[in-house]
Amino acid sequence: MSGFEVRRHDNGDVSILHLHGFLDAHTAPRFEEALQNLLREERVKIIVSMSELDYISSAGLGVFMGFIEEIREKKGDIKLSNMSEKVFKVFDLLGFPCLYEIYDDETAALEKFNASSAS
Amino acid sequence: MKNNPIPQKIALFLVLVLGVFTFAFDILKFSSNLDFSAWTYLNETINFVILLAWYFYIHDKALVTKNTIADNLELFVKLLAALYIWALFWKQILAPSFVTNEFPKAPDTLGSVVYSNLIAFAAVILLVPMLLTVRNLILYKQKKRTRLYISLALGATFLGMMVTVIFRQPLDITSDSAYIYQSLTLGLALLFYLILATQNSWIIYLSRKKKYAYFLLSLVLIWLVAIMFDVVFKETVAAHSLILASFANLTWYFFFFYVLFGSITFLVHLPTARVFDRKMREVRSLHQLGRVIAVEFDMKKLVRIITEMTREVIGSRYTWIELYDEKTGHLKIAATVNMADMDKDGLDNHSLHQIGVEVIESKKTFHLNTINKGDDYEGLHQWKKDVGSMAAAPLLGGRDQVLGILYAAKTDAYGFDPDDLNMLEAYANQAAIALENAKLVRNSLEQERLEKELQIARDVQMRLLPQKLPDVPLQVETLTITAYEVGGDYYDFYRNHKDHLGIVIGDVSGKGTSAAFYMAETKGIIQSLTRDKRGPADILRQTNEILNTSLEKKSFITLLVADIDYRRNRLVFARAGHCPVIHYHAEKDRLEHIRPLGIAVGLDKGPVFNRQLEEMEVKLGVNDILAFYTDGLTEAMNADGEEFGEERLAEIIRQNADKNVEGIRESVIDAIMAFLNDSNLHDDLTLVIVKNGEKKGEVE
Repeated sequence: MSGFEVRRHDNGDVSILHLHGFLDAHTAPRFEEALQNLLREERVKIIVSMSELDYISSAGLGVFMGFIEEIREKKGDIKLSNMSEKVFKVFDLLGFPCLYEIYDDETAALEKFNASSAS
Repeated sequence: MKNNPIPQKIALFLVLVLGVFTFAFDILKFSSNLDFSAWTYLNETINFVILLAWYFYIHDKALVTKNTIADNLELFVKLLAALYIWALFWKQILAPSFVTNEFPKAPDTLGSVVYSNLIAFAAVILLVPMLLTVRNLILYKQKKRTRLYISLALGATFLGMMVTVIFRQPLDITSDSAYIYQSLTLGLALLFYLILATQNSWIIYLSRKKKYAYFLLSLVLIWLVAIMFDVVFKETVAAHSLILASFANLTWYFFFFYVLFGSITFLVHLPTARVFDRKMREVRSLHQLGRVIAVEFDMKKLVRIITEMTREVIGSRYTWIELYDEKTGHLKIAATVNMADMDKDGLDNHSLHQIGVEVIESKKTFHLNTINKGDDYEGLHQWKKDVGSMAAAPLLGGRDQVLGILYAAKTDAYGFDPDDLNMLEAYANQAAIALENAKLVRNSLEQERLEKELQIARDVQMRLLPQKLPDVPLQVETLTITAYEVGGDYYDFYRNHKDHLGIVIGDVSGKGTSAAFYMAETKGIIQSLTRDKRGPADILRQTNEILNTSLEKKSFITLLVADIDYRRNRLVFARAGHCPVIHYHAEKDRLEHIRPLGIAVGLDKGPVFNRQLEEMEVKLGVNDILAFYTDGLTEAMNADGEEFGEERLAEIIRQNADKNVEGIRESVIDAIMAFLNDSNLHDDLTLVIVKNGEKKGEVE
């Protein structure tokens, strides 16, 4: 399988994770680790940007499920952005749009975070 | 004399009886001038028979068939000593004298007759086993022609014995043409003896200590063997029997040559004995190490053995191995020899660190001949005052990475010669091989365990799937292709209404045993729920409620439950995050992907799931086709990274709609195989095809 990479950018108290490549059962642990690190730093406002993500398997989707509860309990959230049509189809089929906020781009997601913290 | 076979008993008997007989005749002849012309030859023949009989008796006795050098040498020396003692003892008692001007010399007194018989007898009894011991030594490192040379030497000896008897002349090399045969035979015999005398390579492999000891012994032996003929045999044996006299004479020549050459060989090899010893030790220890590495995978034991061997061969005072710890990225002591815990603590020393860094960076063996005040490595004395020189070799892995370092320290300055450094490197290499070997074995064991686990998961999955198709007036066909790692695909049929067929299809997230485990759980839950007359949406809601509590947070299951009423030609189904249903309308030749709302089981405790879940009803026409599938089918990927896709699947169904379900299934398989073109499936793939064929007696 092709490679996978997670890059992180912090923007204020929001952290953006950029996913690249193939997210499947073999690469999921690296994504988990990235989220784990954010949790350890108490950074719970997370945007996962997927413009460079080529493929996501059920194990990759499972990573979101594994963390969302704890993050929401800590008043944070995982918002998703920049999905390709193909990736969105996978999320959509499983019904993720009614559980996660999905945005076209990072700015929209950022604005949402900032708006909610301002209010 | 136990356990002797009959022929050997006869041989021994012959030796004794014939010996006594010739002895008696000698005495008779001396005292009564009894003689007859044939006696001389008869006497020689009898003595030859005694010689052969004795050889036949003794040649396979344990005493003379030992194959260690020490045993053979010891026996040789003992027999030689016995010969001297026997001869000198009887000489004292019998004071023999011989008439001096003829050959063979005749005994002067009765005592001399007795003496010559006793010595001739001893010559037979003792010389034969002595020859056998020398033969054993020669054969210790046998070469291609060794046995041929032995045969030739024996042949020449026999010839010499015959010539002596026939011409009644002593064997001697002279220019006198009258003695031409004797001279030639002796010359020939001596030539073969010389060749055999060089066959002493057993000497080379002796340890240094033994070489010195045996060299001194050989000096004594040369002298003892040299005077043996004059002191013991000379005219004495000849007075009794010429054949035995010539045998003793030739044997003496051979012994002398052999001992002389042996002694010279010892002398030649003494200077190199130390080096040879060391090389032997090196070869032995490397050999032993190779064997240990092949069977021992316990790292702790391995590094201990390697350090111990390094110390033994190199003779270092302190020896230890440090291994690279992958977790911490630091070197860690793995084994030490001759070091107390206190010394080990001392290894945390600036100079030692410096050496370590140097070895890691250069990937070469480091060595230090002296440690002086003001030197870079002066700090070594803070660790150990008595360290005089130091060496360290890297353990290089297959990709040239440093796995660890083997250190050795000696007390004297200039303690490491090039040989020591070579050996240190050799041990470091062996240690590296052992490390990698052990790692490989560990990995392959792990691999084997995973393989077994996968096999179990596959077996479980195959057993969970229905073993036969439902007996309903619908055409039903299924297709399952499992991936190498079990993907968690699942389908089942149920009947909870008359004239209805229930179909469940699902995909458990994750792979392997955990997927198989959730499959089993899901199947159990659905089977119990379908005992009652529940509709698809109800079944899914209940399933989510039950599974939510037991599923791992990051696991979920997509499910689709369909209920086909084949009497009323109606499909009712609900979808929990699963792939849509493909519906082919035969009448209109049209495809439809039906996707009611619904999220996967396990994503939500209930509120969202129940709110989203939508039940749909579809009217089925005659020859309409339904396809239920998992994402493994539509996401099957070829080498170019292209997905099979639901459009392609739907199109294949449409194009083959006039076939029965078996035909459609074949077409799908063909299309997938052509598409994958040797690429591997990375997920399970499941397809359930239902065709609403024309039913008999349905005319209403």
